[in-house]
Amino acid sequence: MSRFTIGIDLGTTNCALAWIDTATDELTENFAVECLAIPQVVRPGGVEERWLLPSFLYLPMPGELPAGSLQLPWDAHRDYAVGEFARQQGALIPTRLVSSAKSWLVHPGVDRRSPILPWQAPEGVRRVSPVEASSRYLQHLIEAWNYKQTTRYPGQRFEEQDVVLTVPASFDASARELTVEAARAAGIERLTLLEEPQAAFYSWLHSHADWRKQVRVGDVILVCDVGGGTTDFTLIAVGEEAGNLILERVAVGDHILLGGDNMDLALAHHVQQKFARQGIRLDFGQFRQLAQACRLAKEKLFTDSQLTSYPVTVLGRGSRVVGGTLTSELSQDELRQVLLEGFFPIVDFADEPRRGASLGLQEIGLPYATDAAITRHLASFLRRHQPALSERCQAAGRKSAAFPTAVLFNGGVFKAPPLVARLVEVLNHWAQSLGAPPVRMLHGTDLDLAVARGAACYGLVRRGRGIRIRGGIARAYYIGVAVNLPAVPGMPPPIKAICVAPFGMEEGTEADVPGHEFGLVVGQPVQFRFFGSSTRRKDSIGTVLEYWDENELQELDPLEVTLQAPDQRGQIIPVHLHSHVTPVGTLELWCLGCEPQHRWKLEFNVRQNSEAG
Amino acid sequence: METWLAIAGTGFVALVLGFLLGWYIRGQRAAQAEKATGPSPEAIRLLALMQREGRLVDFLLEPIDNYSDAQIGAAVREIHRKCSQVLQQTLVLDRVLPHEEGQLVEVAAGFDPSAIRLIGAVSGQPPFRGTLKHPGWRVRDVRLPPGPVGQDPWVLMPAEVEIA
Repeated sequence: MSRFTIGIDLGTTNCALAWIDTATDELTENFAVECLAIPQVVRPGGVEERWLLPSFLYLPMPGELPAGSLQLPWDAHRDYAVGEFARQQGALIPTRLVSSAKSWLVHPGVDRRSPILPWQAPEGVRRVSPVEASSRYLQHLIEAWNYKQTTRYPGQRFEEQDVVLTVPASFDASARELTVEAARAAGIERLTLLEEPQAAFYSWLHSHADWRKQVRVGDVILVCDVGGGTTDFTLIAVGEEAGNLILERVAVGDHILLGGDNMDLALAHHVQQKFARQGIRLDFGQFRQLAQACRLAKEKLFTDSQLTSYPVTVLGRGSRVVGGTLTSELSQDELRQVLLEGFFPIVDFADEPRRGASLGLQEIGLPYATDAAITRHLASFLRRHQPALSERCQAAGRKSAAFPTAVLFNGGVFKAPPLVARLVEVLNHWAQSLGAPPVRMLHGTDLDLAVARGAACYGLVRRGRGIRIRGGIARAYYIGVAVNLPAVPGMPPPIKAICVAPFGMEEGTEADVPGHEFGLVVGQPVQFRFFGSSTRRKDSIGTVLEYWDENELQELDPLEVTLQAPDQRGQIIPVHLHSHVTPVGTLELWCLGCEPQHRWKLEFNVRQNSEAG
Repeated sequence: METWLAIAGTGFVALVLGFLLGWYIRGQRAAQAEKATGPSPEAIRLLALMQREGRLVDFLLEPIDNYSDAQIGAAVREIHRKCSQVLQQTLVLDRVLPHEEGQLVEVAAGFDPSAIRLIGAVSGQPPFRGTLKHPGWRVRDVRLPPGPVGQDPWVLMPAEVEIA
């Protein structure tokens, strides 16, 4: 076992790293979790330490910046930037900026291993793949560790440590696989994945030694994690087994591309419109300044409710700094209108997220949420998981409606008390309408760093120190098999779905998929359609679905396998399927023949490659 | 209107202070390196930071006579906030005397006249007793990061060209 356990939050907009030194802590639950101050370029030639590493990659053209501008204490010849300066410079030259790489990892329909970022960059611009970009953020964290920590702890290189890397609970099997690929490319071998909302909950457990007094058997805790770019919901149930409390993750939400950055952008657009009414048009750099000024105004207004408004100033471009200065202001009312009513409106429990025309607060390419109302997404999540909720309520002997009993917030967005208050208000409005008791709020996690800290804690939990949240995989997975029916022109051939990995299948377990044999031709690629469901909780391995609701099963990347058996080219080999949830936390599917050497792994397909090939 | 002027005033004092400290550092370095000929670019680095973050040079060189106080006030609020951050990140400042302004202080014999300036009806021999009018500033540490190796040290602010 390594001396340290390291937790990494590989966020859509910020990364963080936390660690626990197992050599110094006592055998209690109160071990110290420390965070790494991450050296990064913050201006040309200037390196400073920050707790967060902005997940931005800037790829300058040769000669664009003075030599040595991007050098790091450990690399004098770096020709790209990761972190704060990348974000700043990229705001001025967006065609060379890679952002939201993590959201591209989960984007179906693009080849995530090919250099597609910066998205729609003009000819001649350097590009990287989403996997490569993620890998460079991790690489930076590893280098920062090795640069700083090995002087303090000689010989304790990053590569020697156990690492827990967090992913959104909504990541499907292929996005998890790609994350592992990025980590391996960066040199992380001793790796485990953990869902981010679970990590936030581990951090809460760690900072509350008396947590057993704060939750009860029968509680269902909603973890509401709103990051810079994504929103992630999870339900964790408190149960009892042989007199001990147990924790179980019972449901996760879908991937919602909506977060704090969208809120800052919405504010900036709001003030930009005020300028536009005065006939003032802002250029690129001014809009960036405006967004920063709006963020500052937001923080001031949210922390001091006595303030009625706060000035928003954009200094003049060119050398006429005073003469060209533009001023406006943001009032409490406007702030509330844009953020509370725009992102956290009071809606009914039955409200559906709106689909259709998207909002003016997104960049091209990614499938951003078209409804900015986080409360509607939350209502939809809670409705979809009613069966899981009522199961828990019945098990606890509660007669009231199926609704969470407590909520834990995570993400920098919730530093604003009015947003927390509003979300609690909405939850309690729903609870009341359903006849459920009000929701309790669990307090006291570090909103920016809880995920990294919780991940480091989970590293110890894996060594048997502290309670483990049970859960297994968050989705059931199915492969599609064509039904032998005559084809109807213009209609896709009907398929049935066979469950190959049931909801909750535990890490480190494997199983044969019973009852189905396939004859595959050696040497020819075979594709399987692949589906996931976060709501079908009862299907077991081998269950066959003839019909399903469109909302129940989402089609994922296809799976592909080419049977390689040089001596048997052209033959048909009977195989059956075998699934394995690895200890790392990824799903592997295998085709197994009768002979021991006949093992072929199904790969998550890359659509563009298959078209080209 | 008075408040705007007050803001402009305090901002301006802070800015000029930063400017002077830049020259102070330059003097220190120049004294250390006697061989150095010509002006030293050291002061430029602090000024360049103030310009990069807070547009200080643009502000000081812009004729502002014809702008309204409100217009100046709005700009100064921003310039002050950003330059003040740079100042506090780059220089560690101490008070020369720890007392509050307005307190009675005693100046002992053998005081350093570069650190304490006596004003008013100064006569007789130390120790002197008087009212502290300004507690002074002393630089304890300079955390001015070196610029990138390829940076022309005489460029305060690069020209900006937007490609359409």
